Amino acid sequence: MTGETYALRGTAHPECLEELHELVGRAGKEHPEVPDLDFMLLETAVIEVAGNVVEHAAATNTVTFAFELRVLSDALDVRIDDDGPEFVGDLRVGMPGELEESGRGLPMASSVLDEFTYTRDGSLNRWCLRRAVSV
Amino acid sequence: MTEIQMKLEDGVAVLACEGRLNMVSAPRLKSAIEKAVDEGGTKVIVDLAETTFIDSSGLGTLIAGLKRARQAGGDLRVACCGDQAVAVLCLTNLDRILRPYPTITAARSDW
Repeated sequence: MTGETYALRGTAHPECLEELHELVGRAGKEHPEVPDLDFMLLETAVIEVAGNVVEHAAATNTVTFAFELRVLSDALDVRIDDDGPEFVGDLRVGMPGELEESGRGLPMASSVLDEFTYTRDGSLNRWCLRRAVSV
Repeated sequence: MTEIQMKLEDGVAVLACEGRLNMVSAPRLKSAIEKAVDEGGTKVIVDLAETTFIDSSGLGTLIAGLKRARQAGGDLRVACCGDQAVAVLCLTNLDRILRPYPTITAARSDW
């Protein structure tokens, strides 16, 4: 059944990433009509964005987040809101050099998404991720 | 919980990483690679057969391990990659320096 929503709210800490893995995995199992590849690559992007939120949360006070995944007939839509510090990077940054040990997360997310936006809305960071379902 | 097991034989260290290789578990793999190299296993094979997911932290750890092994005169290879591991290696162009070997035997073959 498409149009279904999978949601999770919590505090941004490394362990919450496991919960996100489980949630996206459950959505994939419950939607066999969506190719496994699409859920696999969406999960890859989600974990990179959420990991970014967790990483920046580590340097501040408690950061809370709200995650929502909607399984649509033609796309997988994700919104992540968090009240952490404003993101000041560039979503379109390129892949770092081969021997760099960091800096691949957001370029990797960007490369598997059809839409990827970030906006600062008052005290909230709003991340929107969309992957069109393969045909 | 990600489990990492090491087997050291003839200077080749095979590190089997079970579970998700992410920002939580990546530091454990990094320590395990350093320990293997320090103990003489400068040729490192990371066995990803039971690794269900790799994020950019995990990739960073593989690069750190590759550099550590090369500094010691060895190298690092990845073997038995699942679909997601192959996908992230290709997306990041790291398959050029971390070419996925189909089996542990293949990874050991020309060392």
